[in-house]
Amino acid sequence: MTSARSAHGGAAPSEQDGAVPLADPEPTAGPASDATARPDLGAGAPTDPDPAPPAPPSRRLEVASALVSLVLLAGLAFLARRIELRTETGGIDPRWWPELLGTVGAVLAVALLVVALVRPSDRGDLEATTRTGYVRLGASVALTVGYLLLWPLVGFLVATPIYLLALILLFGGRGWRTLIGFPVLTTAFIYLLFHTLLEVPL
Amino acid sequence: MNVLVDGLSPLLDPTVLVCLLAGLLVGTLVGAFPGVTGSMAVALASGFTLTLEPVQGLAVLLTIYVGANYGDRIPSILVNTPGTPAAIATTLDGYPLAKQGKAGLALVASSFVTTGGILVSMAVFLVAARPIAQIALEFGPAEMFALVVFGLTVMISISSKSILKGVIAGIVGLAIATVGRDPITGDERFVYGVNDLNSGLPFIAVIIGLFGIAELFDQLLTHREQSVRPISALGRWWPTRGELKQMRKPFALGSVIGTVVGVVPAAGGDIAGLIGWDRAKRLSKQPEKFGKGSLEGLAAADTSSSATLGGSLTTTMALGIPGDSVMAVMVGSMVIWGLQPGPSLFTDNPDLVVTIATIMILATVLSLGISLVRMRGMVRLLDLPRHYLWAGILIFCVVGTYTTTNNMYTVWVMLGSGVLGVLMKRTGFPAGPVVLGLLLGPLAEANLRRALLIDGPSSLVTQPISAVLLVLALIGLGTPIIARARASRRQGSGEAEAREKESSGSVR
Amino acid sequence: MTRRTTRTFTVGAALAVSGLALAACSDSTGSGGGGDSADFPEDDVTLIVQADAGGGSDLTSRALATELEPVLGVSIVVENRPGASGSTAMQYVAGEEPDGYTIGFSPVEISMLGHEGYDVDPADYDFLGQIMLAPGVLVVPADSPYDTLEDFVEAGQDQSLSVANSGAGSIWEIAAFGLADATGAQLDPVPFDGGAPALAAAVGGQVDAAVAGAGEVSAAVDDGQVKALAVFHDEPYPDLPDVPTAADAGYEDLEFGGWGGIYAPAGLPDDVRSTLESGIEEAATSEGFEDTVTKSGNLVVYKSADEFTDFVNSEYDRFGTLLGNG
Repeated sequence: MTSARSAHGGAAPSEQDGAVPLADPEPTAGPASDATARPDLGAGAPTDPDPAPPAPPSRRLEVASALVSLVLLAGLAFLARRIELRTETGGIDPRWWPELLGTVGAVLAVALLVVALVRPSDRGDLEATTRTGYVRLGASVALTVGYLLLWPLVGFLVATPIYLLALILLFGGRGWRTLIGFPVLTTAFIYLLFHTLLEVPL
Repeated sequence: MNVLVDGLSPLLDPTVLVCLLAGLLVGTLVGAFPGVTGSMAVALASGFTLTLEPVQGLAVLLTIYVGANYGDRIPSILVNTPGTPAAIATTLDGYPLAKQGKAGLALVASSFVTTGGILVSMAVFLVAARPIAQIALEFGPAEMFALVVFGLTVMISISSKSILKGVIAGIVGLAIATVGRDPITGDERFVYGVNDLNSGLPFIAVIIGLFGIAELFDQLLTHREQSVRPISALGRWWPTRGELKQMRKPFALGSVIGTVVGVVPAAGGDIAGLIGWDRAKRLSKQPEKFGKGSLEGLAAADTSSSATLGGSLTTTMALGIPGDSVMAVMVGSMVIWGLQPGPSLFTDNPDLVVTIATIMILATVLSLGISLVRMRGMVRLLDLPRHYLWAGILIFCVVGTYTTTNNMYTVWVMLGSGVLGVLMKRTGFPAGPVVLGLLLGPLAEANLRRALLIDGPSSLVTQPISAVLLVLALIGLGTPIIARARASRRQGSGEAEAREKESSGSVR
Repeated sequence: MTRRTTRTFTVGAALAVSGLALAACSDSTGSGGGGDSADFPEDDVTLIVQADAGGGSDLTSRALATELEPVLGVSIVVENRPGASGSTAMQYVAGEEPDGYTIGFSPVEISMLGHEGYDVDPADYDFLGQIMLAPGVLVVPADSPYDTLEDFVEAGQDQSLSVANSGAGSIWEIAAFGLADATGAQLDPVPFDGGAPALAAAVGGQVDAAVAGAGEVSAAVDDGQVKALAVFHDEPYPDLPDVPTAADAGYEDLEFGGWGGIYAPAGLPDDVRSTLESGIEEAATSEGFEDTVTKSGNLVVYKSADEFTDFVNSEYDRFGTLLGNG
């Protein structure tokens, strides 16, 4: 329903970027060419006209993630042994499978820890994060949590436009059409599709 | 000949055409909506169709079934969110293709192999439904266990960079699947008094979180205003002759795998897509491209997941045992219309079998037409300004997930999976193995324990199908590890060369 | 921005506004409906189903809703709240206002889950009437050496026999326990993930027998894929007239069925309760309801609110004994 205007919006990034509240600290130079196909990001080809900076290697992150895996999987093995059974049968009982998974997983996590300590970290297949990115992600999660709490209290038709309005504001959309039109139309579309057409209560 | 005429004549009724179109519209729409599956749409529609004539009703339900199988590829390719579980494997290569600016090509190729997959499996249905359906009866718990173990070896090939991280991710998936009631004794596992956890973590919510929401969160983290994302570039639409030739082998492979997996009850398009993708990778001349935007990978995944349609139709109609969840609903409706699927259907109502097959084929061809026509509009969605796209993905995922159970708990699981997914992505743990573990874990454990209950441990190795599959699984486990060890020994120059080839290949 | 955009926008906005208005209307009356119970019902009644759309419970509930609407003169909105063996829906219903505007489909599990560690107690509900029954049937593979229940039970005295069912804690698993308990046969219930895979295991000969709903197995019996040995009901199943009841085979009171009725949160006002009860009786005994239910392979078995309440409680006690929580 918004596609008619969108065709223009995409080609003129200035229209929505001008009002972005979260200014980007790391502007990337170079003309953007959307006509040429971009080589695979994972390959990080140097010929890329507009390369997104790859994530820096981080041994600390590798070690931390291996440790977290180890704790979780060892925890699984531990908790699996404490599953309460109504009748003890021994052998292959409900504890057996999760315990096996936890044990094998914990061993592998130890191996991962060793690898993380020995080998250099390579995160070249990931794009680097930005500081505004963390704010944007944190705020989006917070807004979604708020929405999920609000929905049962005030109902779908009230909570949804508010949520969408807040998201659009966060993501840098401006103008009354964008801020009012999109939330209202999207809410209406979803409501009509599910509630009216498919008879699924929202 | 008479059967053919009797089977085709009811389709000449113009109202049937209306039903076909209505089914297609609903099917593609709900398929593209993350969370809303074909079986949910068919179940909801069956409420209305019970009042129609059987042929009209079948036209609506079967076309929803087919249409959803096209619609669900769209969000997989464009935004890395499988529209239904059957499109999980599509994301593996479809989304990387879109990121390289080949969204148009990926969508066209996907539509064609999907069409081909369904048509091949329907041909099998028409020619050999009854003998093929007997395969389903051979699959007892021991055979299912072996099939699932075989499926678990796919974990190794979808671990993109580090096998170790991939297998750990897979174990996490298997572990998540143990939450809930034990499948054999019904004892609580990791429920801790939370009632909703009794039925485990909802699968659809987890996959939407791990794929779609996690990808969105990653974009939120890394997006830079000045860099225009190449995804909005449509690129070419039609595959070149070379690319078509490339897709031939994975297509043939996918058709066979999909049809057979479809015939087996309790294994559907999600499992078939992953197995098909894995097999194609192992047989490919360019396995290193898989997962990074390989048309071969996309072709294999989509062919096998869509060929399950004919396979499960075969089991359903020839045995009366639903081949998948959509077919379970379909059987319910057919019984109310007084049509009992089963061996007698083929002897008593052969014309109905022809009618059903024709509806499926018509629906497939129409779906192809519709998806080609509106493809440009679909890809245009990616041209939407970021704020619309991001907000849209979020709200559609939330609502789609909510409607699967009408329970806010499901949405919380989706959000939690999204956060977990982005953490995994930033630390290099792939999401694919988690989903594979989640999908196959309950089948593996439950079927092993069933087999042990019935016959004891010997049945696993004495049953021929199960023994062969287990041996294949062992081979499947061994070879890629050895191959990788070899490859890493002569890394350096070799890998750089591969990258060179790849980047030049994608610019061409 | 063109005229077309503007027009689309206006239409959309109009739709949205009307949607909002509609919702506002239904919300305001929905919560206030319980004020004066003498006029019940004044507003839509919600019928909670514990299973996914498209299954047997859903089909029965929707068929009842169709017949109940003209009787009560309001819309019945069927709402699926699947999950946790149905306990999600049961706990939801228990937590709703007992004003008659929220009712639910109560499956046999309502008498079972309390014994399986779920927080579900029949005492939390007002039962308004039984509407359907799916009698259990014992089937064996077509090439099985057993032709009667006696053969089967006799063979079970010296060796253990595997009996497939639709899931851990399902009524058909309890039926296998019950059969073993009553006959002294050694039966190993093997839970599958649903009735269809359990039946498939019997057709494929992977198990010695399966217990499933009569509607689920009758086609396979007619096609000769399996043999039916006994019906766990007090009279033969209409589509399988030649299959003896367990009582015919010498086991009195060996009855297991997937029954279903309508329930509401405990504490309904008396007049609301009687309005609903008589409405449900009329709907459940109507031709349209019977037509749908019998075609889907189940039986219409109506019990009044009082009979049904007693029945639910006696089943609760019986299942408690069988599950070892007596």
